[in-house]
Amino acid sequence: MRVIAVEQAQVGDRIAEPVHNENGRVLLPVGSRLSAAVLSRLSGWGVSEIVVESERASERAHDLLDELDHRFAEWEEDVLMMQIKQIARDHLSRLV
Amino acid sequence: MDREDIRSHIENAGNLPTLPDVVLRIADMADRSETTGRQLGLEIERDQVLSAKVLKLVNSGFYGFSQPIAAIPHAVTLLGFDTIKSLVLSANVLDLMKDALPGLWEHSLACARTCGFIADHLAMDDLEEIRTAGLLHDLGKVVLRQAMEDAFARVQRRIKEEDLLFFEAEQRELGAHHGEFASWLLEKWSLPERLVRPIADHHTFTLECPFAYYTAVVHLADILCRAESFGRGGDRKIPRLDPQALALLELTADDVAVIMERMNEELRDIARM
Repeated sequence: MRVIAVEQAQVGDRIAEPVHNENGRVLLPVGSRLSAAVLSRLSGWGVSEIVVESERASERAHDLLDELDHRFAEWEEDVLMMQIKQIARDHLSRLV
Repeated sequence: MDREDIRSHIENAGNLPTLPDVVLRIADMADRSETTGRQLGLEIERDQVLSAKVLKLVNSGFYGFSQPIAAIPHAVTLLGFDTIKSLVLSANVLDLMKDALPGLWEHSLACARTCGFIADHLAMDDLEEIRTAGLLHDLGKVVLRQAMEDAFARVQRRIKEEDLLFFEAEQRELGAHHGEFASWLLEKWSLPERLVRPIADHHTFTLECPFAYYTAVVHLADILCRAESFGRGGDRKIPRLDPQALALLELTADDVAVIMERMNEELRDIARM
């Protein structure tokens, strides 16, 4: 999970810690996702920061695959290393 | 600063873990055939700090037990002498590894368990020793950070600026590498060569290495863990797998695929980064 400013929040972000108003009333429970409507109202509620799950699974898998390409970039000509990369790629792709 | 200077720095660093007498005594007891599980458990329990560390390691994901293990005698019965011995030896560096580099602990755990999968595939006898070598293979990175903080920072800067392996950055910056750093500490602890050499040479494997077979296992496990993205080794690269290491282990690319499938199935509790 990570703490972000309300301005950085995006539609679809999942709330990792409950968002309260000044009176302690829960506005957004853990696990709820930000809709466009809620996102536009957050600042008005006096909320400046929220805690969201670090990344959406699809984004996370995408990042892992980018890192995988970077990691293996200098071994494109090495058959064995490319076989290992392909197996890892299949495993990482299934995380989505 | 040359290699000898670095070595003396590491050997004399005051902030590196020492191997207390109790650890050596327990390791010695575990080696003797007349020792009973009860005796070994009692001896470990006499040292509360050590007991806590061993239990922490047992429950850390090293073994992937589904139920927490709360008592030393239970741990001894469940894991056996050899395992307890390697746990006692590893327990002291656990905390340091968690703090040293983001993801290093996860990478080390994954490497330990992958060494186990490879050893299992090869029907090797001494599973625990090779797992311990896997767990401690990057200990040298922790050693460098503890003993020579400036040098560690220079290596990190170089990794970032030149996009190098940790190993390459160390070689260029210091003319020595984390395999050696770990071996200097472990030799000071009088640990067996069988455990020390694979750690020392996991980036410099040749068929002429002492304990080349064990070294090949750790070399392969490290690379497979980086490929599968378990934890982080402190850089964004992967070393090339030496085909001679595979040949020595009599493994084919298909065997590697089987081992990677097992990693994918059984290491779900370890974060990919």
